[in-house]
Amino acid sequence: MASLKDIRMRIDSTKNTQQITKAMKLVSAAKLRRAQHNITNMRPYAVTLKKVIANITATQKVTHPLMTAKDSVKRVLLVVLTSDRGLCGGFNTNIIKFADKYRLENSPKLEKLDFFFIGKRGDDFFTKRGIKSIETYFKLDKDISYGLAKGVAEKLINHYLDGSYDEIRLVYNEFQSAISQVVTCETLLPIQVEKTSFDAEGSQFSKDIIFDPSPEAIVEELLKKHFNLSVYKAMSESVASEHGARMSAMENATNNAKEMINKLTLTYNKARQEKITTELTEIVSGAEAIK
Amino acid sequence: MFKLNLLTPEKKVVVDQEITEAVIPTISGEVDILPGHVPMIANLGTGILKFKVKDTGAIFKAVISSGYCEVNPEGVNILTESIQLKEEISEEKAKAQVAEANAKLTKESLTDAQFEETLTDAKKAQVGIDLVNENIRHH
Repeated sequence: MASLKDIRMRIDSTKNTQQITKAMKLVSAAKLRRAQHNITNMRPYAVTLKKVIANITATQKVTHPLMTAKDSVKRVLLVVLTSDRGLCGGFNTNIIKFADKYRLENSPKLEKLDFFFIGKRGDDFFTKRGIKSIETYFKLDKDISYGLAKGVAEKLINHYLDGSYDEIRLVYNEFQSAISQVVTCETLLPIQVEKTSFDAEGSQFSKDIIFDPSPEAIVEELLKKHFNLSVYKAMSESVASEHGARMSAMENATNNAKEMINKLTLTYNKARQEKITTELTEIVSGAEAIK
Repeated sequence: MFKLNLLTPEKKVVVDQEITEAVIPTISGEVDILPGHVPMIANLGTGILKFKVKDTGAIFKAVISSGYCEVNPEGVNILTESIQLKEEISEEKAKAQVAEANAKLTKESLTDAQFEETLTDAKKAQVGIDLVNENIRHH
């Protein structure tokens, strides 16, 4: 059996761990709130943009290379969004599992399947297995900004427009709530515009609208904006999910530590009482012997 | 009822603000929008956005570049990726930006896209300087 001192030390170290996990939980909660704020701020912009694109494409019959799907998809670029740091439960594991499964299932069918990693975890995993990415981005959670997303989006658009890939897909954790994230795989390019909500007759959107410079040029601008925004949205959601996942992971860790401390304290007290009893018996029997 | 929404991906700058007039820098020049303007969609250029708030008559000014504006019978929606309010502009910083961009522009190694981007940066900073100095010049 472990000595009293050993148990004491284990209790202390568990307490330290508990303090750290508690602090990390609080930090994640604060960061999560900020990330959620980002998502809500973006919504009006996204909604307005989507509405206008749907309206224009429906009334003006405009097509654009970014919107037209290729006949056969042979070359795919998979963008994988993970975090830079661990300690966030299944956040990264789920994404990596999904991406790896996608690779095993689809690479025999495709001519080319390349990866683009955002976040260190995903990059580490695949680099270890000898899979190189065409590009990597780190430090997403530090300064998630529209500028950063725009930079990434422009690179992706160039890869698509120069004909290297027929389709660009994105795997990320969609933010549902602080405790649940869903692995989502989206087709980023070609852009799919929803036409469902649009009713050409009933809309107040006039067909005699003035376009400056031209409907085509405007659609091109809007599609690029829309694409930048989708990348920004995915990044924001992923960051929010990361903090949410870390928060619940740390909450669990804190609870486990608490349970462990309780158990250890019980063992400690039992051992202490046993020791006292033994000592008492020894003293009594010693005193008896002297008589 | 003529309302203005000014939105960026990162924040809602102005939402449902009743206005009487707006001057918008579109790609082909400044456009003055009054209530009852025909519906219009235009790409934005780099320039100064101005609008007059209905109740107070206060004039709001900011530098915007890249984005689009939509005018419909209910009002104006402006979506832009980059906005600088007048209060946020620092003249020294803007001057430094202009100088830096100009130095970059004289180099020959820039690609077309980089050249375009640097030019926009220079223009944005210059418009910012103009906006800050506007009052001084007029009075």
